Amino acid sequence: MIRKTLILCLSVTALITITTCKQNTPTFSTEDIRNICNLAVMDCYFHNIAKLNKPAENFLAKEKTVWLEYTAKVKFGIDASLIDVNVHKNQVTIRLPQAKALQNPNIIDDTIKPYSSGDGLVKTKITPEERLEAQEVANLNMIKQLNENKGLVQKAENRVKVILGNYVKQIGEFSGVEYEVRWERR
Amino acid sequence: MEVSDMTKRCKVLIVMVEVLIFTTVIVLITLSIKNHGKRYFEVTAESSLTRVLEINELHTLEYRYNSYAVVYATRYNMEVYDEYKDIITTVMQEYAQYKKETGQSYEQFRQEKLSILQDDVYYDFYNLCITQEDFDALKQFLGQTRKNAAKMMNNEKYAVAYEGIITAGIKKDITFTIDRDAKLVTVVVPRAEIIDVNVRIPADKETKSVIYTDQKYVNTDTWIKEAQTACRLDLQQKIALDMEFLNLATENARDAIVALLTPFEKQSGYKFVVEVDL
Repeated sequence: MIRKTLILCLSVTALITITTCKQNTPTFSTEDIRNICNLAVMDCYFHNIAKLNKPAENFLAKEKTVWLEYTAKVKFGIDASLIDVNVHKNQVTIRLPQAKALQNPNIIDDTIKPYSSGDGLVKTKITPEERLEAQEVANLNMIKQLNENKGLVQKAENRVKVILGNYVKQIGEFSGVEYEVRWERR
Repeated sequence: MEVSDMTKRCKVLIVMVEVLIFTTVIVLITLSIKNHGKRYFEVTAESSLTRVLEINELHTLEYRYNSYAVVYATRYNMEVYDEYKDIITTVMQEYAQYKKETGQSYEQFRQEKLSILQDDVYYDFYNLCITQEDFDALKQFLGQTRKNAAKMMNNEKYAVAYEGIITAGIKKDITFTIDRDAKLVTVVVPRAEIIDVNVRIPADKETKSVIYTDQKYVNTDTWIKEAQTACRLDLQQKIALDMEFLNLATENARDAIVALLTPFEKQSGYKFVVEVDL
């Protein structure tokens, strides 16, 4: 009787110890994956030209073309908050949204430089509002170009897959488990 | 009675031994699970880190650089004029002779000259004049009087907008050191460099990518080739001066390395420092 009770107590203790210990072995959560994914977001640097054409205001003036050259930065990659991770036994399923520009371009002010065609006898004036409008159009075009650039989207997604794939693989190696990663489109 | 006592004592002893063995096994299993990650890193640190840091597809990225180049009647300046004015006639004669004898191109002639020349003014000349087009443009510039050459230099022909793609990133190896006593891994990421530069001039009608200062240059046969060379040079010069760009390319590569090292930091018990080699 004593023996049976002792064995039972020890078994319970062993179960609790191993279970508690398992919590210290490598595991990963959606939060970990999202944090890693944030590091995979690329800071895209782009230099762009806003083009502005203004017709001549009178017969003494000439049609004027102005190019505004400027530099901007934009974060491009996968929105980490939309990633889902599901671990079932040794299979890890990660659902990724499509990569895209994650913010509006941040223009570096001192990089704006104008270039314009010559004037006639009377100068065709370009107002600050017209410049701003041209710049906004150029930014939208650039964002569209970035989001539609299949090569860039693929590269950004591949970057995330390599980094997250490595993460899961390494965690598996640390815990002695061979994980299989499945990628799904969210 | 004594025999029964002995049997009881033996049974208790057996149970105690069983309990001891059982507890030892449990402790060993627990320690083994707890330390698996750390032991794994201690054994495989060098090979694991090398393997991860060699994932070179994360070391480079492509960047968009849309800009414009102003094209002048010549792309050379007066320093070039003064340096090579005296030798152009000799080079022209040598090339004419070479072409007559071998029928080979300027590029072939240049290769042969560079293989035998030492570091002198001719050597510098051939490094400046890489293609037949460079040679013709420089020949035209050096054929002018000094006054006309200066005029050519300031004569703005047109401005042309281009779409540039720059591939930049880490070319050199990433190194690391492991200090096992201090439990510290230091990874040194080299600074990003320009790897490739490409320019494309969008079709003029759709995007109005050319501002002509002088109409006489419109529709010349050599226009697009000249514009492409000018745009490429312009992009290379702008990027070389743009430290912010290379900082960003370095930072992108560094972030990828930090992300790749995160599982090691999390499980190995080591602290990881990722530095940029300035």
